[in-house]
Formats: sequence, C-alpha cells, structure tokens
Amino acid sequence: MISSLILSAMMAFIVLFFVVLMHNFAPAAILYALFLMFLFIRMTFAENKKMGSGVIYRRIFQTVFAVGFCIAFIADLIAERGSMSITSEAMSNSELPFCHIAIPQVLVPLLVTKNIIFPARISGHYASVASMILIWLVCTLTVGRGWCSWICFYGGWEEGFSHVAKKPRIKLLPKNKELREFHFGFMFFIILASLCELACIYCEWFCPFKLVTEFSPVNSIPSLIATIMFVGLFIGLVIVLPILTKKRTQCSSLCPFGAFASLTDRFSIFQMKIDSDKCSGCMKCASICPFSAIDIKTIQEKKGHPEITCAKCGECVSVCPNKAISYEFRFNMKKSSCSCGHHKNPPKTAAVRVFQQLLHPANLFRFAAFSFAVIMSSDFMIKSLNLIAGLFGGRK
Amino acid sequence: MIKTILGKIRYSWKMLTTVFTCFFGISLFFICSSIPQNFFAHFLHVDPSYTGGLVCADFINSSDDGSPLLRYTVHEPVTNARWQQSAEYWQLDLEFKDKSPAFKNINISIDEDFELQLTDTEGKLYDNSGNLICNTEYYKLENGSLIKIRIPLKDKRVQKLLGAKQTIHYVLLDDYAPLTIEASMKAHKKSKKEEAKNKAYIQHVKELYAEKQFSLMTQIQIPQGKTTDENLSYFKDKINTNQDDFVSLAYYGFWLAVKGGESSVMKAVALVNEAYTYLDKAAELAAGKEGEIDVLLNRASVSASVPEQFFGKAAVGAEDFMRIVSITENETLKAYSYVMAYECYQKCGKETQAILDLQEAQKMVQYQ
Repeated sequence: MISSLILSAMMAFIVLFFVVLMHNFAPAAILYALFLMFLFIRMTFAENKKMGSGVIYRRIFQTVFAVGFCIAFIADLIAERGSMSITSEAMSNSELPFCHIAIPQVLVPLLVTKNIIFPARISGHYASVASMILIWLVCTLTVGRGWCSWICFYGGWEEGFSHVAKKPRIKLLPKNKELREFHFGFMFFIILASLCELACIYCEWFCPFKLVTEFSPVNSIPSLIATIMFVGLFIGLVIVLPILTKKRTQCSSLCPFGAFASLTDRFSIFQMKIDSDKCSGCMKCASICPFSAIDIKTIQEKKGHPEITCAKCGECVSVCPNKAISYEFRFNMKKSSCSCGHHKNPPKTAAVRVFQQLLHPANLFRFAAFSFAVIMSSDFMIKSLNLIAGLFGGRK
Repeated sequence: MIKTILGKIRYSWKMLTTVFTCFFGISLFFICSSIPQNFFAHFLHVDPSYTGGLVCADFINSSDDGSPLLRYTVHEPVTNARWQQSAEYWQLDLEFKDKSPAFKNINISIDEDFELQLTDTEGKLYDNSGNLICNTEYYKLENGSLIKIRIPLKDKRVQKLLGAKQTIHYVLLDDYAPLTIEASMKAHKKSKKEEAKNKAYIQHVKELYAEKQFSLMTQIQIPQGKTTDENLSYFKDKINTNQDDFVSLAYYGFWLAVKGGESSVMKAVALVNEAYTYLDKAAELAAGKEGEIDVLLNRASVSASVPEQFFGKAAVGAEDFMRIVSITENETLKAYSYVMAYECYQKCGKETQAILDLQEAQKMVQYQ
C-alpha cells in the first residue's frame, strides 16, 4: 500500500512535469495527465494486490496511444501537405518522419556508407534520426523489448484487435518456433536488401502502418504493388489475424524492429523469469503470450525464462495460477543460486518491506516503461485531444 | 569472505544504478536529450542522394544591391538516387531574402550551353539554340523563400555535366544586376580551420561586449553585487510602483529566468514560462520607445540561453537581436547582436541567416 503510494507520487511528478508543465497547464494536458495517473495508480495498486492483475491498464494505454498518435500524426500531415501522401517536396527537403522501425534498416548501411539512408531530419525535430536512435539506445539499456508492449505507438492497434474476440479461432502455439524463425529470417532479409539497395526496403514495400500514417502516392505500377501490399498486410496482420489468434501477429512475425529489439534485449536490465519449481506445466502462459515467446518446449525443458522474443508485457504473469512467472533483474538471472537478492530476504520491519516492494523488479520495470510511455505519448495525445475537442465544438 | 563482500558490493552497485536509472534516469535523459542529440547529430548525415547531392558551390549575396536573391547553391550531380522522381539529377537551390519574393523570371545560363528559365511555378531547361531539353523538378519550400531545381540527367546533352570539372553560372533575375558564379563540380569538405576561426571570433566579440556591457545600459541603475532574490524583489517593488515600467518588467523577467536556471528542472520550466509573460509584456510596451534596447536585450538573452528543445525561443531571440541592430548606434552592441543572432539562427536551423549575420558582425569588429 505505502510502496504503491510512493510509486504513484513519483509518477505524478513525471506526469506533472512532462505533461502538465511542459504544455503550460493546457486543459487537454490536465485531462491527459489525469488519465495517465488513473491508469498508473490502478495498475500499481492492482499489481500489489494480485500479481499480474494490472496488465489491463497497459493494454488500455497502448491502444489509446496508438489511436491518439495516428490522429495527431495524420492531422499534422494534412495541415502540412494537404493529404497523407508523401510529396516530392517533403522527400526533396528530407522531411519524412523517422520512426523506430527504420532503425535496423539504417544501422548496417550507416556502418558501411557512413550515411543515413532515409530522407529525414538528423536533429531538431520530434521524429529526427538522432533523437529516435538515442531513444532506442536508452530503451535498449532499460526496458529492452518492453518497448513493443509498453511504448510502441503502432503496437496498440494489434493490442486492441487481439482483445476483440473472447477465444482464439486459430491456435498458433504449435507454430511458435517457425514464426520466430521466420521473423528473424525476414529481419535479416530486410537488412541485407536495405544494404544492397541503400534504401529502407521494409518502409518502401511492407510497412502496414503506412495505412494509418503516410504513404507514397499511387502513380506507377511499383507504387500500386506497394499499396496493395501494405493495405493487405494491415488488414491481414494487424486486424484479421490478431482477432483470430489473439496474438500480435505483425509484431511477432514481420516487424524488423521487433526482431532487432529481441536480439538487443540482452543489454536490458530486466527479463521475465519462469520458476520451474513452481510451474505446473498448465501452458496457460504459452497460450496467452501475444508475442509467441513461450513454447511447450520452453516449459518442458525448464529453461527458466521465455524465448528471445519476449516483450515483457506481463500477460503470462497475470494468467499463471502458481505465480511462477515474474519480472527479474537480468544480473540475478545469471546466478540463479544467488542469495543476495532482496526478494529472498524476508522483511523484518514494515519499513524494510516497503523498501523491498519499491525495489521489486516488477515495480521498477513498470515505472521505467510507464515513464517512457508518458513522455513519448504526451505531445501526440494532447494534440489529438485538442483536435477531438475541436471537432465537437469545444475549445482548442 | 572477500569474495562474498566483493559480490555484495557489486550487487549493491548494480541495484543502485538500476534504481537510479528506472526512477530518474529516463526522465533525466529526456530533459537533457538535446545535448547528446546535438553531439550525435554531428556524426550523422543523410545520404546525399536524398538531399540533392553534396554542395560544391555556395554563393551568399550579402550586398545591398536590392536583389531578392540571398543564396545560390550548386550541388554535385547525383546518380542512382532512391525514392526520388529522377534517379539521376543535378540540383540547384535559390534562396530568397523574403518569403514569396516578387520576381517574374529568372534566367540561369550555364556554361553558355544551357539556359534554365524559371518562373513562379515551373522551371525549363533549353539548349543554346533555344530548344527545350526538359522540364525540371521545381520545389517551392519554406513559404516560397527557397526554390529547389532538379535537372533530370536523362537527356544525353545534359549528361555531359556529369563529367564537367567546373561550370559557370550567369544568374539574371528580372532587371537586377546579374551574378556570375564559378562552381566546381566536386564537393569540398568544410574547413575545420574556418570553423575554429569563427568560434574564436564569436568568443572575442562576446568578451568585448562583456567589458563594455554596463556602459551600454543607460536606462536603469542596475543593482550590483546582489543575489537573484534581492534583484527580483528590487524590480518587483519597481513594478508595484509603476506597472507600465517596461524596463523593470524586462529585468524582472530576466531575473526570473536566471532563478529558473538556478532551480530544479520542474521549477525552472514554470519560472521561465512566467519570465516570458513579463518579458513579452515589456517588449510590447517598449516598442518604439527609449529603453527598447534594454528590454529586447533582456528577452533576447533569455531566448538565447533557454534550451531550444523545451521552449523553442531561438527564432524569437534572433529577431530581437536583429531589432537591436536596427535601432542601436553602438558598434560593439551591433556586433554582439549579430553574433548572438548567428547562434540563435543556427539553433533553429536557419543556416543562411546565421552565415549572413556572422559576416555582418565581422564587418563591425575585426579580429585576427
């Protein structure tokens, strides 16, 4: 209880500074700050009551953020260019927004050619190359692939659609390994193709989120093919398959950033831990994992952690009947016999218990991921709230 | 025993850094991100094929001949460009002093072999006999103050430019005096010596201004040797006596911003925002009156100092410094204002304006 209050108070400071103060106490900023605080307080208190029960608030945040981001982004595009289509002016002036999905595609060519193969601003813009690469670096060192399940402004679409149906119509569990292999294979193909062509191939041909952001005008056969592909991929992988499988299919099979973040996740502080002694092998975690990161083999072979594609969303924690899955510090995972971990010492006083709860990996991870989410989302969400208010005749 | 102690120390250190990173590190990163971002940006470049090719000649028109043309840039020809309308092209940029400049025609004669005819909406390339070779890509950007021309290099007659070592451009804009620009067709790296020289010059002007700063202020007796709070209460008293005392309003705003700089980040944002309410009010009241320089100098100094990422005030600062230039007679203050405007324009990405201001400053104050 006290630890939840302390965490909420600390988050309130972050929300107050980045949302309210930075937007000069605008009504939309205050409204959004209240929404964020509601989510965080509910999540923290729910988690302290029952491990994993706060996961619904992450889902709500990510879905709302994805929709809000697209509203603000499209409105910006229409204000600047008159449509969502990429103009030659924007292209010639290096004004395309640079998103994290382009990072794996530009890094290898950057090492080879010393140039960024994307027509974006290098700095001084909210979606500039330098800022996105730095954010990715900090994210990699802290929450790792947690980006995909907590912060990614596209992931919310799949998050939302994957919770439309009550039960999955297609079970992907037996195909998890193949799905992961395809994901990494596709990422390497994209990196290689980008290096050969010196252009971001995924952005040009595959990215399904062009449908909700910006796209090239359809004025030639190749651009028509690209359009059919991204529309088809959006409908197939972001809407239909998530509804049928209850998995984030695009994130776990196509997104090159997702695969890349899985590879670099080993540098992050946190990892999910599966306590093999407590695990009864019910496979509920494997069924619910939206990123196909838990297989039958993961449990049978007692690996002690999910597969490499785990995005630390916490869904498995919420369904485990034996509380066998938890967040853990990576440096504790390496030496499983370590007895110096705070959670192994039974608290002697109330103060120590509060202190231990505050420093619990789950609380630290959630705080870090939510801080990221608050900061990344504030500008877009406030802009989209103002737009919505404007539509209904409210004050901007 | 020692191993256990060392293990515990190592674990404690890891825990400490983890806790700090999660609770404060992420927020601190975003607060200070402009510093690593600017540093990082020095090493990153967009592939030249996307940006028009490397710059091989850059002419800045700093003369007062009345011509609206401010800058003429010749790029290296680009081949195998991706995502562009033409895979092979040659880009020329024309930057104007004003937004939507009034001109009827621009004729650019290149090596006497080609003539590029530009109107307000399109560009066409002709050979020396007046035969049309091709239409060019024509981009009007930055509210019309920048025109980018991309000459497709598909036509065999134009392809000889790919092998040229130098081109001579004869730019004729309406009835203004023509400009002749010799452009090498290979890009040269920016000289580090030049950059270091500019840095030293800026430092010199700032020092010169710092020496004479107090003699420039004539409007108000500035309390000396007092703390920020004492200064704030001094000017607050003055404002309470006369709410339209714009000089005191400006100084009060300035000291509020100084206090912001001495405070925690949270408080700093609130204080700087509050400071601008006073600074803006003071600038509004002081417009065209004696004492305007003091007011503008205070606002411009704050605008030049606050982080651009949070407050986005560099452009306002540059405009204030340019206004000071237009109303002051003092050469040192003029040079200082030009130098500060240079820094502000650089912060907000207006490179041409920045270069021009530095050139103007160099005319005012010489430095070896």
